[in-house]
Order: sequence, then C-alpha cells, then structure tokens
Amino acid sequence: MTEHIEIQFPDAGAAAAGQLADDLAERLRELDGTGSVIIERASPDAMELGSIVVMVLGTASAASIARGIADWIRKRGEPALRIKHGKDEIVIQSGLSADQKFELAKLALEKSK
Amino acid sequence: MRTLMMSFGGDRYPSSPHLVHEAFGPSSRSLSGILMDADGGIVGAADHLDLFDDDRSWPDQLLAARTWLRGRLEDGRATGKPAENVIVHYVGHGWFKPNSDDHLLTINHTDRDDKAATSAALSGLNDMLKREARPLRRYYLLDACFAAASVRDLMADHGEVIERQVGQILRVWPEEVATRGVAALCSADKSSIASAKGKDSVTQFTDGLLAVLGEGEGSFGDDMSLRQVTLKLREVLEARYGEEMVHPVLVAPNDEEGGIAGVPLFPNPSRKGSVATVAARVAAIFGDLAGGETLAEVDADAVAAPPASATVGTTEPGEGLELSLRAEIEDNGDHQYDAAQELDAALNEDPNFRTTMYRFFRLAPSQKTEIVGKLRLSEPGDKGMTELERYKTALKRARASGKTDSLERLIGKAEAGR
Repeated sequence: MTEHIEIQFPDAGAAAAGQLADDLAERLRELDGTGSVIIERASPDAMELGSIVVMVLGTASAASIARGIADWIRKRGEPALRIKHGKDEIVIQSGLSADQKFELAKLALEKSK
Repeated sequence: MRTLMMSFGGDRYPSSPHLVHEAFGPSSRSLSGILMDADGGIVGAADHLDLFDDDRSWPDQLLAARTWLRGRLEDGRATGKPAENVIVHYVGHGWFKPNSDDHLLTINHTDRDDKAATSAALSGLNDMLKREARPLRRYYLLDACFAAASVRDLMADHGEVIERQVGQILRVWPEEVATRGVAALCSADKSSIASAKGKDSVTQFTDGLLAVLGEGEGSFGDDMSLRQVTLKLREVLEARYGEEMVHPVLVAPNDEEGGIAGVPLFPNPSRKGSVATVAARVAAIFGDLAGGETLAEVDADAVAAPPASATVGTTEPGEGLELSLRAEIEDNGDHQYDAAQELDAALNEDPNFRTTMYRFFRLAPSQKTEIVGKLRLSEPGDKGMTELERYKTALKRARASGKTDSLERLIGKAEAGR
C-alpha cells in the first residue's frame, strides 16, 4: 500500500507555512530514497501555492527521513510540525530536545507500517 | 483623462497544471472588460495590453510591455492626448520565496520545480514603468494571496516607511491630488489568503470590484477615486461574503508628489448624468479631515496604529489636511471651503481625537452601531444618510457634546472584545 504522509505547520501563519513547506520539501527531496514530495493547498480556491507537504515514502528508512526532518527543524528555528500518517497524527512541538523530535518524527513515519 | 492598462497572470499554466483555476481567466477578462466598456469605460481598446495567459517568461513579458508602452506614449505625443494613468492588473497565485521576503506571482511560465526562477516579481515591472512612464500615475490592482506584500517592491526606492507588524502593513499619506505616484489596491494583506471562490465564476476580489465599478455609489461624486472604490468594495464584500470575506487593502505612498489614491478615476454609474452635489464633495473633504486617510483605510484591518504615529512618515497631521483643503478649494469654490473649515474645526482641533476616530472606524460594524446607540449619538434625521455619513456625524456629535471620554472608553472595551 502506498504510504502517504502529510506534514503541516500548525503554529505558522499562512504565508510562513508556505515558505516552511517549500523549504522542507526541498530538504526531503535531497535525501536519498525519500520518494515523491509535493506541496498541496489546503483549499483548491486559495490563491497561493500551498503549505502542506505530501510525501509518498520511497525506499529510505523511516529513521533516515526522521533524522532529516529533525535536522531541518533545528536549522529552521524550531517550527512545530504536525505529521499525519494514515489515521495517526503526531505533533512535534517546539521546546523538545533534538533527540525527542527525532524519535517523534520516526514514530510518526513508522505508524501504520 | 487617458488611461492605459496592462493585464498579467496565467490561465493555462502548461508547466504547472495544479495552478490552474477556472476563475482566473474570467476574472481578468471581466475586469478589463468593464474598464474598456464602450459605455463608461476609461480604457480604449488600443490602450490595453493583454498579457494575461501569455506563455513568455517574465523578462520577455516586461520587454513586450516596454515596447507597447513606448508606442502608446509616442501616440499620446503625436495625437496631443497624452496618457495620465496606467493601471496594472494581476490575477493569480501569490507566494513568498523561502527564506526571504520576496513576494512572487505565478504566470504561465511558472514551473513547478523552479518556481522562483520562473515566476513574476512586480519590482521589475514597476522599475520599467517608473523609467518609461514617469509622468503617469501608476495604479495596481493585485488579486493574489499575500498581495500587499508586493507593495514593498513598488515603493522601495521612494524612501517610504512601510511598517510591518505581524502580517500587517501600516501606511498613512496626504490627500492632495497628485499628478504622479503609485497606489495599490490588493485583494489581501501580506499574511492573508485570497479567495478564488467568488460568485459568478470569478475571484472574490473581482466579484466585488465588478459590483463597485458596475453600480457605483450614490454618495460619491461623478467619478470615484481608488480610495472610494476601496471603501465601497469593503462594504460589498462584507455583504456578499460575510465571515468568508477577505479584506482588501489599499496602500499608497507619500512620495514627493503626494498620494494618488484620491484622484477621481473611475466613472460612478450611480451618478451618471448628474452633477455632483456639494454634499458629496464635502463628504470627500470629510474623508480628508480624518487626518490624511479616508475612512476606507481607516477602516482597514491592515492598519494597526493611529495615523499620528511619528514613525509613519514626515508629514505632520495638519500638513496633509492643509494641502487637501487647498486642493479642494481650487476645485470647488469658497462655499465648500467654508464647509470644510467648519468640519475641520469640529474634528481636528484636538489631534488626539483623530486617533479616537481612527480606532472607532477599525471596529466591526456591529460594535460601531452599539457605541453610537449607547452614547445616543444618532438622531431621527440621520436615517437618510449612508452608513459612513452617520458614523461621521455621530463622532462629530460626541465631540461637540463632550462625550469623548465615554467614546474612548467604549472603543477600548470593544477593542478588548475583538
């Protein structure tokens, strides 16, 4: 079954969320074996380019992608992330340690597997 | 008054099909259509450059626009009918480049994987217009997400102070009628999502603009300024979309020639064939008396601080007013000057009251009505007035009857409850 993962930025405004989505998508594409990464709009009538990162997992391990996400969070000033994987959802809040963020991201990516 | 127009944006997006929206094409065409209408339009067919849905890159579109503009300006010289205004209309998607404040706009050339390199930035267009068409007033009608963010690019070299708070732009400017300059009416502020879901298959912003330009407003003069259009637009959008309304933002600079948003530009259909009354003109002057801002901007959510703020610009509160009155005197004669002086005395003796007015007009309509009712500032004779006139009169009464403190207290309570 294809693994769709959505990543959103619950604490960012619309404009900032779009920038974060662009940047994270770029980072994820740089990782080996990530699979497809696109950005979608929350509403088809929004006159913007979208702020939801949609990833279809490729051959990369959940741990390597989670590490990439955790590193990106640290470099981008600790934005909060909501990762939806199937029916499961995990929010990575700012204020957590780098290891905690990595573990949460890994858990989110492994859910449903 | 000859007006040129340029239309930009994308419809088919061959390199990024996910950007296609069925409202974009009708929006661009209907807006240019109403401005070029044979009966009451302000743009001649030859004076419209339609680059909407053009497949060329942005630099190539700029070169095409430059060539066309030079031709139109030459035509103006040859025929003795020089253009005075240029309107730039854009409809499409707006977005920010990651890790920067650069606001970009999508065009057909925009590529999904190289968006920044293949999209449009208004700064290049504005640079060209300033260079090639410096004597012209430049008006931008921007219909995109975060549209007001592009205004920074339009005004950057004017030494303008554009104060940005959280997602907002603050601006004040004088009211004199300028011969040149720039003003932008944007569908959304720099942090808001514009909506392509308007009635009649156009964007929300376009739907409102079409209504305003098509119907006009009886309390305005024979022609409407961009500022008056903004005021009416907000009313129309609120009535049509309620909580889903995206608040339009008008931004104009305080450059060396003054602002241009007050220049009567668009025909007012509801006044067609009639002579503007003194009352309508006084209402316009009254707008000036709001301290360099008309109520359209005073009411705008994008404005977040009182106009007297020293950080906003170099123009002192009274300075813009004097210039405004002088401009109106030349246009309207002494009897209106007297009326303006009276209103000036009523509202502007105390600069602090201007701040109170400013705060009042930022409140929601229901809050304003509640305050007017609590302080008993309305009278039966007010019923024939427009909503705007009623509020102005109520404020004048509050001041005249010494209710300023109560007014400020109630405004404070209303602000706290927002």
